[in-house]
Amino acid sequence: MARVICPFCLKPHDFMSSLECPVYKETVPAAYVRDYNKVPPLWLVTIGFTQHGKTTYLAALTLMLESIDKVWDGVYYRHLDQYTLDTIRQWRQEAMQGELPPANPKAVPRPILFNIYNIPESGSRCLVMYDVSGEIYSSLSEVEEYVTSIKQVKTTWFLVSLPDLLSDEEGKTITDLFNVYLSGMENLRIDLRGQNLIVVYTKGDEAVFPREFKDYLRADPFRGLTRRDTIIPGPEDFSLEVYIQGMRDISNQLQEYTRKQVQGGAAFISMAKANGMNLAFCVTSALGESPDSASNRLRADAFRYRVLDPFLWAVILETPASSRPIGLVVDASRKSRSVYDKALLPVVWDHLSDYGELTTYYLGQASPASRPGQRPLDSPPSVAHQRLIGPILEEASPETRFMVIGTGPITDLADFQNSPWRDRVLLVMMGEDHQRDWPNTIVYRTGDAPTVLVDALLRLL
Amino acid sequence: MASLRFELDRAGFPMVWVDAINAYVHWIPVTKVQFEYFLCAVPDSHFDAGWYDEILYLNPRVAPNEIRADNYWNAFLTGVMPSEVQRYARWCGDEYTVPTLNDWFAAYTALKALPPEPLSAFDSMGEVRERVRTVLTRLDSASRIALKEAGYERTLADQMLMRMGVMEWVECRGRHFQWGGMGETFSSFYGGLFTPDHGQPHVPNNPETERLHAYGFRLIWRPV
Repeated sequence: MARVICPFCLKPHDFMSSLECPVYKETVPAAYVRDYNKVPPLWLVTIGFTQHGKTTYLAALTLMLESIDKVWDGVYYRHLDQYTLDTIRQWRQEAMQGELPPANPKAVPRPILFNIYNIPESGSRCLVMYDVSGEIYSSLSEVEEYVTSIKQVKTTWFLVSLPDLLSDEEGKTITDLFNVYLSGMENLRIDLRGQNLIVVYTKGDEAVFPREFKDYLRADPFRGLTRRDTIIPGPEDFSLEVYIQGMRDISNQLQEYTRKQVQGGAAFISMAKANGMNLAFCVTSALGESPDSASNRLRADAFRYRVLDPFLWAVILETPASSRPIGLVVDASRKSRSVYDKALLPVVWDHLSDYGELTTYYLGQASPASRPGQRPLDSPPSVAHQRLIGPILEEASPETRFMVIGTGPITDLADFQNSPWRDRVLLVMMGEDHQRDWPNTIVYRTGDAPTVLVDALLRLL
Repeated sequence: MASLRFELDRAGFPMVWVDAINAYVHWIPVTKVQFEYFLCAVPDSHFDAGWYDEILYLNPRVAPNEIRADNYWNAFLTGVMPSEVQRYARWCGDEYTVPTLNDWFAAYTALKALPPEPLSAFDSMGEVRERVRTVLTRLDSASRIALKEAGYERTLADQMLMRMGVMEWVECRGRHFQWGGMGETFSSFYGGLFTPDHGQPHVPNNPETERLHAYGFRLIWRPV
């Protein structure tokens, strides 16, 4: 079975033995594990200030997706667990009763798991959606603790309500929000290069937008998808290609608008691009109209405008990521005891497994000591191994990056001095007897933070 | 020479078919890089880190890219005892054995009558690892210089380092000693007057208890 990332703790586990996440003690749906390769996850996180419409947007999106078969034959959805079912039911009830979902409490987010099958030109995807509490984004120090889900995500919805920003008493700007996000990413040691940031302007009906944006909203062919009395274009009348071209056009226009008209917008765009992120913009109106201020209404029968756009952007931009292979190779010689210190190996393993498919090896043993998802042993093997790495490197795929932790020189590492492994192997030396002439070498001493090693390896990725 | 047939052993090193003995013979004596695949494949308390430290103490290791005419013998695995060679042969496969004296000498005689092979012969063996290819290439260059220094005309046997290589363990059947050595070393590695040309082996006193730093081996493979 290919490595399956747990949707709760975002780490790979050995799902052959148990479906329970050992960290959060939640049962991972069997269908999620079984269909992982056929229905790969589409990891999504929402980012935004409180009351900027994140949860409302997710509620509206799920309602829309439930009706999507009206447009595309053969497209259907399936929720994968009771929590998702309950959440969607709750949203529906709230929609029927005309109540907005309450603001998401500040807590570790649990995803809703929702398979959508047979999306045109994209196949089937499992939406793993996290609605993270808005409050945590206003406090830099809390981001890392709560937003571990971001680590797995390649696509982020950056939900911003321009009317709410304008009326914000603290004078927050879009740059403030992005700065908090950026700092959180840095704390989590996430490489943002190539990540997709989809800016979703929520409450598009309320915003003071140029007329062309309002026209774009109104022209949404899906606006009546959740209404019974509205005719929706059938498959023969609808061109996804044309629709997506429209999304691209409006994205370019919104970017220019942001640069010129939104406070802090130009700086925000520059920062995102400087970090190598792919930017897309869209505008939505999940409610279709402003909720009555007294009743906070989210109506099931409302027209909703361009609610599918962020979803389609995510599908377009995020092809299933091939997992990045990482090898952790540890000394197994007679002098290797210090490597197995509890403060080092488990911590390094824990961090590295967030960044790719982590396999561990003993120096001097070609076969893996543990597979992805399996924790490494906490002691060296009974037979002391010579420090040899050649057979491990030669069996690894060229994309693999290795962290090698040793207490003395590696006998055959010099064999690879002029090979591409020179830039792909980080050597961590403990003890006094150091390897000479290996370019990526770090000396690790007791008491050093293991995350320093993780950071150094990430620079090789 | 287009007629030579090559196969790779389990460690990915080439063996060449020798009609005279109806078997494949390792192209060169077994190298340290080659033996390390065995060490990494089979966790074995006998061949543990201490064992290899002792071997490397007798004949230090050289990285493939550093192989030169003045150190090329460091590339070979030496100091190994016959019983250890047999264990390596078992790992290679059922049909791999240490050559008998007769096998070795018959192969040597046949190969000595042939000219060297251009190394481009290995180009067709796409699956040869880069590191192995470097070992083969560097050893070929280094031994060419050594042979010239020794005043030998280079034959295919010399290219395969049956001379100017290491002393190679051979099994001596029907004699009062079981293990002997054939080959000829470069004087900078191990000085001596022994030559294999007479067909008689060098006979160490304690082959199973004493590590001899000039003694290595190559295997033969007779596929059924």
